[in-house]
Amino acid sequence: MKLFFTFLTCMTFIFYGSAQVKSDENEFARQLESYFQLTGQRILVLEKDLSGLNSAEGLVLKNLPSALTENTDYAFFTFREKYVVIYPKFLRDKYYDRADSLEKHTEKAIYEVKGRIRDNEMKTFIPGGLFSIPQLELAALTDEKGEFSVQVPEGTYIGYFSSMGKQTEQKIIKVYRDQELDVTLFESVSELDLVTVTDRAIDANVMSTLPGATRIPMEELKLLPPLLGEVDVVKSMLLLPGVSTVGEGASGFNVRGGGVDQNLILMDGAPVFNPSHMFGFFSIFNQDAINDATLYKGDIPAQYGGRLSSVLDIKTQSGDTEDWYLNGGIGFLSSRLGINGPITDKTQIMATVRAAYPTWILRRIPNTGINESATNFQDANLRLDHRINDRNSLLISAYTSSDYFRFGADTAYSWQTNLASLKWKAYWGDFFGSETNLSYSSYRYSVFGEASPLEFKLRSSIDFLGIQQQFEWSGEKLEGLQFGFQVNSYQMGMGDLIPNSEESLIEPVAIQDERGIESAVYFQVPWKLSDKLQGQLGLRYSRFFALGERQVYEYEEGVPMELESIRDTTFYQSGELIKSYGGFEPRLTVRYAISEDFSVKGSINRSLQYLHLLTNNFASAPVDLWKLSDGFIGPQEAWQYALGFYKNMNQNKIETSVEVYYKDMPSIVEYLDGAQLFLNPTLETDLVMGSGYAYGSEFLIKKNSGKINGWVSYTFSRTLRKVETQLGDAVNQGEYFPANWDQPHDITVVASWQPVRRISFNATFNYRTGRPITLPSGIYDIGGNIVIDYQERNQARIPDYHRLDMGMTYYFYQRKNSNYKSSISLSFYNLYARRNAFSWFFQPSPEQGIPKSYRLAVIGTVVPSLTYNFSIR
Amino acid sequence: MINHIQRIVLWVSFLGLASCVDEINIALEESNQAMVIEAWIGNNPEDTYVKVYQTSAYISGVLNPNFVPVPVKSVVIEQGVGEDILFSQIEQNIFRQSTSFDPVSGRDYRLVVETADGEIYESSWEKMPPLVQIEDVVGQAFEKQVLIATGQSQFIQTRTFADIQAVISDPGEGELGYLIESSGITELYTTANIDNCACTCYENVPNIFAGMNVVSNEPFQGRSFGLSLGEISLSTLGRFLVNTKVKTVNKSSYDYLNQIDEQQRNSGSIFDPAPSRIKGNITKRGDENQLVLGSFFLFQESSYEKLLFRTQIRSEALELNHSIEPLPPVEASCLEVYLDATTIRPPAFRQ
Repeated sequence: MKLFFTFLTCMTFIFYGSAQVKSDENEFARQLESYFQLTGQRILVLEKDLSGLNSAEGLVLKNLPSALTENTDYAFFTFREKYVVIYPKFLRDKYYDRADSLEKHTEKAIYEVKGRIRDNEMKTFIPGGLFSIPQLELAALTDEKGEFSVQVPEGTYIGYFSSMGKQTEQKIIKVYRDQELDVTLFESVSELDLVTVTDRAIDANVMSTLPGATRIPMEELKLLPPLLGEVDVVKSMLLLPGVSTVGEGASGFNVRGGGVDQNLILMDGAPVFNPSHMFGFFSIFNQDAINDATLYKGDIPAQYGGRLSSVLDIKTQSGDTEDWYLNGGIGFLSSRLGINGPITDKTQIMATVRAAYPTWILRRIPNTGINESATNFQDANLRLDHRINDRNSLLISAYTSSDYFRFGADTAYSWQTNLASLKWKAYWGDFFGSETNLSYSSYRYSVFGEASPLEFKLRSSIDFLGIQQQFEWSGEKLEGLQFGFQVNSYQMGMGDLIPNSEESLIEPVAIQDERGIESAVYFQVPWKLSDKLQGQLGLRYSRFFALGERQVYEYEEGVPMELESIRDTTFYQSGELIKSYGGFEPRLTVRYAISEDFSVKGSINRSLQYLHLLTNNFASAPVDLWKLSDGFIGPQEAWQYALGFYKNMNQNKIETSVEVYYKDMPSIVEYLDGAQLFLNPTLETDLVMGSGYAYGSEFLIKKNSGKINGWVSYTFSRTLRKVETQLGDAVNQGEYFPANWDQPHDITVVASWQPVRRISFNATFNYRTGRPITLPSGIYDIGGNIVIDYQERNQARIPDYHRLDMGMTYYFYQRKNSNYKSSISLSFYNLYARRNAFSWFFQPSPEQGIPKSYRLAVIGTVVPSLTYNFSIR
Repeated sequence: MINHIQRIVLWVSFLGLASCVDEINIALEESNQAMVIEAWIGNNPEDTYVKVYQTSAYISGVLNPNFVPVPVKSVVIEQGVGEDILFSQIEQNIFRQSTSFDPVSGRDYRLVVETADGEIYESSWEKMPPLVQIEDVVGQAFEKQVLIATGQSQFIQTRTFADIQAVISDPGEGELGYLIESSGITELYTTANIDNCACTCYENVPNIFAGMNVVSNEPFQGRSFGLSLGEISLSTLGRFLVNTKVKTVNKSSYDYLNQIDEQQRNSGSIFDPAPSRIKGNITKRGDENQLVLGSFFLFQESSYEKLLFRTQIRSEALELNHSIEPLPPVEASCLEVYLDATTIRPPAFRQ
């Protein structure tokens, strides 16, 4: 029981049922809230019981539970001085009878009661739902699959099932054998509903042993203002401290001083190489297909590897096991449709499709550059869940997407992502389970040149195939031990240029593919010296093998690597080892709980990365090149040291934290000035290994409950890099220079206000320092053309960025058990229409003088969006 | 009303899709000055020169940059075979050849500049590219959408243009670059109600290619190819005189010029590379780390002039939707409308 209530969150069951009760609701709710403020104890009471209680008016606040139940048929009991449950006396009498009986008949059998709690509106299982049996003072929270399990003595009980914003259900439970329960909760329509059950312990930020980990369920994401009508996982992550982007239109995100390629993004275990549609205006994660997203930016659990900075683990949602649901949204720019439900009693399906179609708008804009442009994307998710038996289950997840973008009349871009994963979960005993995950990921892009007679197609690709086998032990000793192995295979298409018409004069160019295998073994185990001092210890050993078939150049020693210094060529057969790298990646976290609401956490971890994104553009683009480590380019390496202080206040209603980190990157990949990254058979001559470091502090204050909630965060961070070369040109004369994403100050404010059940308002504000750019140092003349001489890299900054978004969602009225539910969202991106600079650039002026300077703002105005969302059961 | 609302919704809702570009004024007057040596050596004495000066500060949009000359003791072109070619100072910072010079294709040359302070700057050895003759200049009609602005309203129309190309045959002697300069004179008609009207004007078009026109021969090595010189409108009646020069440059010069071209076309988007310093082939002797800007270019140049008849180009593409702008009415002279033109007929138009 103690264990279950460790996770118990504050909850109040209040419903309106009668006119008499409703008239007192406001006063009653106010009294409960005042009592909570005074004592820190939450009063839990069912709506139907309200009429049987004494009136709350005029009662002495500090004795409120007694006063409410005095001389009534109700009683109350207190859990751990935090929760007061009011319930009918006859249940309490049963409890005492049972306690007496237990003393006399201690041999009474114990049975397991398992169950699942479903969400009628979201068509999903509810993580963090509460199951309780008041008369036993017993409760449990559902896990991430919406499942719970408790040991219950035989008998007949009344079970309570509840969750945030849902009407609490009661069921009579007869426990004379193992039971399996399945309960669906409906949306509460009470304006007094103060239920704030979350899917994690209320004090998780203080008591969890993982610093820098954030899990956001889709329900929380939907409280944020949508951009262009879509709730976006990646955009939401950007609101967290330590997560940033270099600007609108850039693909990916940066975490604690890392590049966009240093984030491992997984969808059901399959790696995603480009999480963006339409240059980051949409992410590839369809809100109807996603269950939750977890970002690890501090300590990265040992089961993940291959990236230096963070892991964003996206889980899709399973299909409903009882009913079929159709849901979707219709907007001006994009629409989506999803269906999920049971195929058989053991198999469920979830499928979504989405399409964006802004081209019809572009065509109507009277600008020749824009109206010849076109862009669109389509994507689809499919997930099948199959329960083979009680101990084995399968999950098949697939995703496909296609993007197209044409800028002007003669250049077009397209890129495709295909993901698939097969997960087999098995339980080999009461305490031992395994998870086998076979995953496939491919990313392909093409650039089309359509100017006659030089029509061409430039294409590149990534093909990934991986297997991960993980075992988990849940016995008493070493509970939570995880261990396993992982093998990933990569084939990188480094670029092909082919003529794209019969008349084209383009000569085909093919850059040889790269192949490699990345393998790892790992274990992770929680450790606990006391309730106060505990943590996790993990160790991962990874090894990378760069393999043939490939031709590798050898360069003269003592001179810079360039085309002219090639002295020999070695040909490696298919599968032949070219170069191997490896190393241990320890991960250690420590949490010391100074008190129940105050803790200190620290972590140390080392990461290695064998896959690198090559870009010398203003920001990462969908058509950037990925490259494996090889004989010239080693792995990137980082050590991260993090320390955090976590303090909750006002009975966990307010969370605060301060995290500081230092990231040492002794090995990173950089490009040389003027690098040619595409169609370069000697790519190594334009790349160089460097080093860097990043440090920062992240401050967060968050209000979790109430009609107004949200957070304010401030991040101070720096990330600097250095490239020293023994031969050839150094970058910035071998001195440290800021990375493209070095933005020291970042302030984010997120607020959500739900005055009544049916309408919510939300707003976000973000301010951050302008990102570094390279400015002119002077000008000179070459053949009548004024040429700009640029300073060393990233020695200046564009103006600071700030933006306010606001949104509103109205939920149309629906009756309980209604088969049709709908809402409409209106949002405004960049409400005050600030022209945030994405870059400064310099172009020749028509007058032939010194080139003029310009500011490019990707979104320079307010962008409203309106989306109608619906759900049909 | 519905149309009005639709238009508002369209504009307000989706204007954000269009990125916006504003001119800003950046003046970096305190920048460090760096040495610049620009040397063009080739078969056309007019275009053969060496300039030695220091960079000017960047001030956005200023018309006349202030380059500071560097006192120079000598400017010499060394040949792999043969005597050095001496250059003498013509203007404050410009040097031209003192003796006649016939470049030899395939021969190596190097620039050596000695300043009055005794510092010596030298280029790497560069190979003289071959001479490539222009065989013809042709025009081919095509359609393009243009934005028409009249008064308060703007609208888009399809107009026809001619893509002007210089036909060359690449010698197939390895990788080369072509630097093309194209100018022209356009014939402009007007109309008047008097008999002795000077209604035909001729106006210089200094550059018919937007920006720098540099092309690699990589796609068409050893083949005949049409180098794009630019485009002219087919919506007027007059003829057009194309005057073009094609400089052949070697691979390293092409790479250098291509970087300038990329710099000038950079629009700050995610597809554009972050800008960086362009490094040439000249270094300071004894201190290779000292910054020296500019480069040593070897070229062979051919030129071509041709009068194009818009009527003929249109007649070869009758499938296109040609439209002719009405002739501007004048009182007595086309100069009333075309202020920078002349009524004196250039020789090429006297056919």
